[in-house]
Amino acid sequence: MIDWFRRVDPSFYHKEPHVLRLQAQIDRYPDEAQAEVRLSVLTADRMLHAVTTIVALSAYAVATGAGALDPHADPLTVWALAVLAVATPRALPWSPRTEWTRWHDALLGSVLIAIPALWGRVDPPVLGLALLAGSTLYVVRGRGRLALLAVAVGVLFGVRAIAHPLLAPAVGILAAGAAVLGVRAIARVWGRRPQVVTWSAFAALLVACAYTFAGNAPAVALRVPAAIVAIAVAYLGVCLIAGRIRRAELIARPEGVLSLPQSIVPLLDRSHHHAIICWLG
Amino acid sequence: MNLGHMRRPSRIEVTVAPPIGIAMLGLALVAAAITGAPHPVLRPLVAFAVAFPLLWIALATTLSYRTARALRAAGVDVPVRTRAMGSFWLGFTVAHRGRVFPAIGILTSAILKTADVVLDAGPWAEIPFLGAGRAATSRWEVMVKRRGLLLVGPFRVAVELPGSVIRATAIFEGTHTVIVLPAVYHLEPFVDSLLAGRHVAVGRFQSLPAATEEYVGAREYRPGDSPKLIHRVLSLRSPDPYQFFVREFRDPSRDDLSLVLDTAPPLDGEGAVHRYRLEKAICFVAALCRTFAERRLTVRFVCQRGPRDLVTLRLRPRDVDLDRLELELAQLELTGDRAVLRRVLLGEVRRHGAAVIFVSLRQREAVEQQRLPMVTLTPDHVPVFTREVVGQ
Repeated sequence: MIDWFRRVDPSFYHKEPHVLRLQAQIDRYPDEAQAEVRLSVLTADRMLHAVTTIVALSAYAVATGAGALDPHADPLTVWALAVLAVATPRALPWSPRTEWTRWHDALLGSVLIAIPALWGRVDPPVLGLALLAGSTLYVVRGRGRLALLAVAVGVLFGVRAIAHPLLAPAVGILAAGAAVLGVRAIARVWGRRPQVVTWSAFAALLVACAYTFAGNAPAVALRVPAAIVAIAVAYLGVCLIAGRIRRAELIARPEGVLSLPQSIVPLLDRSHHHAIICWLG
Repeated sequence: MNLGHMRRPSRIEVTVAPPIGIAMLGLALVAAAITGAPHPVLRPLVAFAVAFPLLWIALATTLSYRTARALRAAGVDVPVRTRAMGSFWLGFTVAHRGRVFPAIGILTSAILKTADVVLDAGPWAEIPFLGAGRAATSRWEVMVKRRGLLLVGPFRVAVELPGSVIRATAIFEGTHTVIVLPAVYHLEPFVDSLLAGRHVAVGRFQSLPAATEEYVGAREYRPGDSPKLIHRVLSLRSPDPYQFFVREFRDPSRDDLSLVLDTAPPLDGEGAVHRYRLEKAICFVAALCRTFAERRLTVRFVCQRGPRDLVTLRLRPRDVDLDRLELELAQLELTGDRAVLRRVLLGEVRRHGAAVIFVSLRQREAVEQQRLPMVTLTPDHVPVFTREVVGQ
């Protein structure tokens, strides 16, 4: 009897109030943690990257009237569209950013301008424009890419108001500002509801269509079937993106949940103090 | 599959997509329609560009909602009892009553409640594909660490197809009750020292074994024991020539010992600590009774369940008695009374003499308890006898 009295750890129950006060307010599976896991799943999804690029190229085809837009007549618009088509998919959060992707972007930007010109007239101004787009995409990186996108949007809408020299910069700045605000609003929501990207992609394609209808209708009218094919490919790509994002949502969901707040449990094992723990079977 | 016995969803909860996404899409649609309208040549292109997203979103939204409505609860697989610190499998079978479209990527979850703790954040189990007229089961492993009642349900099934404006969640109301029995501690072998000389020898009134009593073991001689009870063989074998052993007998018709559990709330206001000690004491008592049952002892268990509600259980070494005890312990709260406890202890000591074990929640014995010839186990003693927690 005396033996087990001696074995008493006097500090054991002195720790008890402290342990009880520890109340587990630690959320094991916050939205941010899930968003991070989801992003890593999307980053590893090569099909998603390929589809995103295809959607952007299809949108470029729609916006240029399936190649009807002349780089000689409207070099700034062609440059801005090429930059947007290449840099927008790269600005998405799941897109990989390596040294190789810089070369890839530069090459793609140049080719986007040069290839359609093969059907018309390839001359130094077109090649120079292609080189300018490629070098811009190679040189600008990091946060500069976001600024480049805003500048491209500003240029696109600014050149439409070229009839009013004072109005053009204002329109451009307004358009760039609206684009930045829209992207920031989407970025705030997408962590919790990733499917918002689907509607944003549809909206971006529709804006590209509206831009083309407003400023380049006569040229597009000559190639309506080609434009329909291009927009159909882009839309189907968006549907695929929506499916891949849903897949990432399912993969990244928590496999187990602990009850909160902590409750009193009869444990000598003090590893955790949750009343209920539930895992997927 | 018989769809007649299945339960419809009690209600469909609709969570709408973030307004910013819908607003942007709406504005873009209007812009495309307005800019395309003045050009009759572009009409097919404009119609396609505007109609495709609208149709896709409308189809995804309609299918999400209709699928949620077509789902039925086909069965819940949940045990009636479980043990704290142990885990059990929870199954929920959902059937799809639709006729044409399959349900794709549906997520199911259950709400779990115990006392003031609610687990309603999932985890969401996925059923990737559920054909029309088919059923599938989601499974979870649930570990409950708190004794008492665990309420399982309602169950939720969420459907959200990619591109849908809504997430439709079918809610199946109704709860299933699981009794969570206390965890049973694994006790150290020297817990037998609690019994030494208590369960018969000190509690008995006659000095010699009666004809109905049976031999149960031997222990070291203590002053006052009858010399007629000395176990000669064991005493001669002992290396110490002054060490003697006596035989112990017991009467199978009467209780071997009494076990009293303190359920009185504290006087000093340390409620949380006291509740914690009660949890430990309950698990310890359950383990102690199991140990005594293994020794073939009959235990009289006494505790106060409510203001005027005294529980007295005679626990013979049978599983059914131990089950009864654990059911009582599963729902015991701090609702005792000091005065009643004092009376109970006096009564038990009169009845069993020193063969009374009192599991107290207070760190020190009260003065009146010190005068009684019984063993008082304070919270400090519990970890001494406890080796590990046994789940199942």
